Amino acid sequence: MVKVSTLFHRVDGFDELNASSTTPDMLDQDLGDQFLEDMLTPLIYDPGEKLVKAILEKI
Amino acid sequence: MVQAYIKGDHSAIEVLINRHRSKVYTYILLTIKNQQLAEDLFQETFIKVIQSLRGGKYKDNGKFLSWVIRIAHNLIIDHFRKEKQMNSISNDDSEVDLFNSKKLSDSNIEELIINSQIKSEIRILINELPDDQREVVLLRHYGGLSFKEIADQTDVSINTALGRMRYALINLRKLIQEKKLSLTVY
Repeated sequence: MVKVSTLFHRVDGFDELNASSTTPDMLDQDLGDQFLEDMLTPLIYDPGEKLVKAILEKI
Repeated sequence: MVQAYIKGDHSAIEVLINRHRSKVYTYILLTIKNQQLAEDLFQETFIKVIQSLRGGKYKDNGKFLSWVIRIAHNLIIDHFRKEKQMNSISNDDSEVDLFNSKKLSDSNIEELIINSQIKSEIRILINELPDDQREVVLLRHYGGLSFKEIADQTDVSINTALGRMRYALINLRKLIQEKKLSLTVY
C-alpha cells in the first residue's frame, strides 16, 4: 500500500522523543480539549457569503 | 437539518453550510496555508458533501461536522499528492492577511488590533508545531473528531494519535511560555 504523507513542514527544535519531565503519564483529554478551546477559539476565519453562494450556484 | 436536506428540503443545505462554514474553512486554511487554495478546497469540500448526501453516502450519527472535515482532509491529501507529482511551488507563497472575521467588524479599532495580534500569535504557534501534531490538533478542535477517528483518518494507531496530541499540548504550552504570550483580550 502506498502511504502518502501529509507532512509538508517541520520546524526544527522539537524533539518528540525528549519529552519534558513534567509530562503527565496519561493524557487528560478534557483538559487538553479545554486548553485548545481557550487557545483556538479566537482563531476562526469566515470564508464569507460569496463562497457559499458560489457553492449553491454550482449545485 | 441533514435529514431535511436528504428528504428534499433544498434550502437546508444552505443552513448547514452556513452553520459549519467557518470551522471547515479555518481547518482547511490552517492546514494548507494558502487562501486561494483554501477557498477552492472549501468549495470542493461542500460540493462533495452535497453529492455524497444526494448519493445516500452519509450515515447520520449526529457528527456531520466531523464527516465534512474528513472529506476536507481527504481533498487536502489529494491536493498534496497531485502537488508532489507535479513538483509544484511552495504552499506558503501566497499567504495573505486573513483577518476577515465578521465578528471583528463590529469591534472598535483597538480591540480589532488586539484581536488581530492574538490571532496572528496563535497562528504562529500553530504553524510552529510539527505537521503531524498540528494535524491532530486541527482535526480535534475544528472537526471534533474522536481519537479513534483521527487515528483512522491519519492512518496511525490511537496511541500515536494520543501521543501526538500530548506532545502538541506540551509544545504549545512551552511556546506560550517562551514567547511570554498572553492570548486574552482585555
